[in-house]
Amino acid sequence: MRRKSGVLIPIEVSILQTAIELRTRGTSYFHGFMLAREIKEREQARLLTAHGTLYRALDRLERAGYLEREWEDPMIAAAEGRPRRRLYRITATGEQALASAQAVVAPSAPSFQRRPATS
Amino acid sequence: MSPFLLSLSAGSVRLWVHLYTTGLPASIRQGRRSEIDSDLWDQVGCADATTLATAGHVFLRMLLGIPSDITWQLAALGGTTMERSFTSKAVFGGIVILAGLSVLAGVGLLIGLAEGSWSLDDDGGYGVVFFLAVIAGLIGPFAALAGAYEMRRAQAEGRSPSTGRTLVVVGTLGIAAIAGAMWWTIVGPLVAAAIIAYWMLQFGGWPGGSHRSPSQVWQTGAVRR
Repeated sequence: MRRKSGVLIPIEVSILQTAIELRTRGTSYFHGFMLAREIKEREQARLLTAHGTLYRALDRLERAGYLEREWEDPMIAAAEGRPRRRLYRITATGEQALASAQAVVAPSAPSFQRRPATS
Repeated sequence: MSPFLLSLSAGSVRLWVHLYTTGLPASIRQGRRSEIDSDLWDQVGCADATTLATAGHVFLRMLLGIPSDITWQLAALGGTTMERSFTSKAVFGGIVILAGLSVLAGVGLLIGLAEGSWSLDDDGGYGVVFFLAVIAGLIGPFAALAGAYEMRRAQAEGRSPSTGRTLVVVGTLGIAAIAGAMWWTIVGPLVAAAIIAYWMLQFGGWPGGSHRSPSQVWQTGAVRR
């Protein structure tokens, strides 16, 4: 079954939130492994996000216009003796989508809270 | 032992990525392969656990992501025109594998008939299940092939590929049935896959960057982010 376009699933929300956090800390561009590690630390998970889950979500977010991506300068990778990384950056549309997703979740939040005690 | 397992684990990931990206347009195929290569290299280089734990972690990341990989591949196939290489490589490879499984199933069937080893046992249950599994295993590959063919035709004619996909799923279940009933038939392919995976990483090097294997990366310490 296909998902509605514009609807974010939890991993996509996590990615966008992490992207914003990284940018706040001065890292606008991030790569897949860096993101997986940040999400693991942020959510205190035992494992890194699976390859398929992570890169499919990144692909979908990029096609939706929520992320921009570009390949790293090959000279940098060659100088460090490692494979070239694909770098991602959150867009203004991505920030709006995240804000909308959080706004949808927020009104239902009080229903999970315990009722105040009645006397 | 542990560096060997690390190489085997990372090589398995690369083998799997190589398999499910075969047949996709070159830009998508190379993009995904390079991206996973980079991720693997970073994970192996930045690992702060033992090599054994890292090898397990790398392998688990691959296993848990397989359903997403398959749905991503189907979406990528559906959204683009399949290349000629799809016919020449993936379909041919699939035919060879499925034909091999069919032959194994047939041989198993004949051996079972000759020895009478899978006639009904005491409670009369196992033999029937085994027989049905063999039948499913014989039909499954052909159903999967027909499904793949139907998917290609549907795409060429602009129709929905859902019928073809259903056939592929049914065929795959048939193959799974025979793999369950005649587990020994998959030992050989598994050993071969492990050898190829190890070779791909140990001797193939890392494309586009260092040609050190994960075990060498491990021995020389962490990499820079």
